Amino acid sequence: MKRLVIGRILFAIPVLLVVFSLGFLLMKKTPGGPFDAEKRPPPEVEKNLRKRYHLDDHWTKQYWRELSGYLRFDLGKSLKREQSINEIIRKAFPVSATIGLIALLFAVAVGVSLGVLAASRQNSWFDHGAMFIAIMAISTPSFVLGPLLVLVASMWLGWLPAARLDGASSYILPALALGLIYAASIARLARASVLDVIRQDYIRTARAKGLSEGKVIWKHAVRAGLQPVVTYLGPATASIMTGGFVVETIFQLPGLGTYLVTAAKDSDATMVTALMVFYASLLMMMNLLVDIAYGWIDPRVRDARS
Amino acid sequence: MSATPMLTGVAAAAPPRSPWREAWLRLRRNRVAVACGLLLIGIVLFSIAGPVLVKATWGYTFDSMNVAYGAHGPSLRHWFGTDALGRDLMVRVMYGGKIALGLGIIATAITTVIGVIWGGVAGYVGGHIDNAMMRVVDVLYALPLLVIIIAIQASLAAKFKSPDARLVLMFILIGCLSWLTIARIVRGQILSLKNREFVEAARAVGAPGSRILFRHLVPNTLGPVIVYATASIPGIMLTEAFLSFLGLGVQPPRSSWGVLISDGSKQLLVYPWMLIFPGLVMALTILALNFLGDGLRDALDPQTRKVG
Repeated sequence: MKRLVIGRILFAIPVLLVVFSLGFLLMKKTPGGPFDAEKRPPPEVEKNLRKRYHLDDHWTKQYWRELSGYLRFDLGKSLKREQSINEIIRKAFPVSATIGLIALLFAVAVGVSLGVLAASRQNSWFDHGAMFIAIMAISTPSFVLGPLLVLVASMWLGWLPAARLDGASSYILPALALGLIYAASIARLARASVLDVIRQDYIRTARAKGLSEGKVIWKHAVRAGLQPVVTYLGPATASIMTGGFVVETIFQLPGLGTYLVTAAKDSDATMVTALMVFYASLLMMMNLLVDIAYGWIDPRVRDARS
Repeated sequence: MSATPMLTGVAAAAPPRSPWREAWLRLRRNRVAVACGLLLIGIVLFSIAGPVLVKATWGYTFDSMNVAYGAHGPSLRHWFGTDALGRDLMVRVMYGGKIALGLGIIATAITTVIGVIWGGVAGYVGGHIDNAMMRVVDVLYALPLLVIIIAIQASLAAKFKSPDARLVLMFILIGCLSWLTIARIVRGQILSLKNREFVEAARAVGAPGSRILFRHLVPNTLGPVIVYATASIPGIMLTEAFLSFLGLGVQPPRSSWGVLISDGSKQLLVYPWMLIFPGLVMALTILALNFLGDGLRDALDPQTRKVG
């Protein structure tokens, strides 16, 4: 466990360096600076701006300046917004994280229970119905589902189109739009792996002991059946966080994704680089957490590691 | 391809069949997969022949505007309705389909070629080279690829003004960043195959390594590769639609499913058909690809088939 954590941290350093350099290279080497809007600032202003952000320094100097900032956890200033990037992340990340977390919880809760129920009633109408809905949901991208949810909610339920952020309820539709596709994948995975497990000897033993069917399924089959789900959760968490862009755009939420997309369009170099590094660290942290969780669920993995 | 010799007495009566033919027969028995295959052929025809037919019948293309007839619902003349500028939505959906399908084919081809070569070489050569190559895959896996695609697309947008060049670059970019899983699959397959007798036989007659790898080993991995490549097309199409939706992919006046869905979602409450038709066609395409991918997996790889 300790070795796993240390190994991952050592692995993360070069990866983050690569991401940082890539971001730096991409944004610095493109023509069209951050101040090339339709309305260009007057030359003196632009000169001052360039000076303020050290844009006229040699690129190696800029690289070191930014990198040494990163080492002190100072991500620099946005070129477009008069704000430090740390502050923007501090404000925007909780929004994205809340949506992502609700979506993830929803996906796991709905996905696992549907999958297990479908497996325990294999080939019943419930099984077929649930799996049909699951594959429909997998095929509907979040940017189609999101607006459709808004349409349904506003037309049939009389809710206002959930734009703006006011209160907890405005998180629900975006989280639903984001999470449904993962709920469906989890349901399919959970069903398949529970079906695999159900045929094994120890389940027969559990039944032979006279345990009730519910206990056999929920206590014995689910634990083993959850492993593929946990493995899937790593990439899923990552793409839930990156998939948040679309949902944030549709529902006009001030999350990180919205900032990234705007920054990319505005060629706000420092901001794009900082967000790339931030997302990469986040992703690696999630993967580490998933690996720890995996060892916790499956004793075989844990023993193999120590 | 020569038939596999049948050794058992029971099978001797039946005419010998190649594994590919067996797979084809299995696939044909899967009704859902066949229906989805037909649906996909329908979508291909709709996207490729459709614009020609519409032009011949009504005379408009994806960018012919008729502002006076803007934002009209579905009618006999405009089956999917028109958008705010009076462009026929059906032709625009067809055009978007052409882009999505082109992307699906080109990006998947790039992905497959890179993945097979990378995974094949790593698995066959082994040792330090394998270790180094797989480390590269690990590093790329740890990156938020979508974030990087967004950053690259944005910086390319400044460099390449021509929309055609940007479109091609986007295809290549998505293809170049999606090969990781295929490389892992192929490497695993090669590792399990490379000590088999037929490889030793090839080596014994003096075949060079590259020939053994690409003529003897790689063809044996094609089953899983085809299955995975089909399964990855929906993800690739979604990436394009997603980029276009965010305004970083296909640029107006061109159309793609992402562009149309983005336009449609802005005017959803007033003109719902502008979202519903492109969304529906896209969802159907992905649905068909998902089912076809499942069917192919069952047909090509009967061992992994889930019972029930």
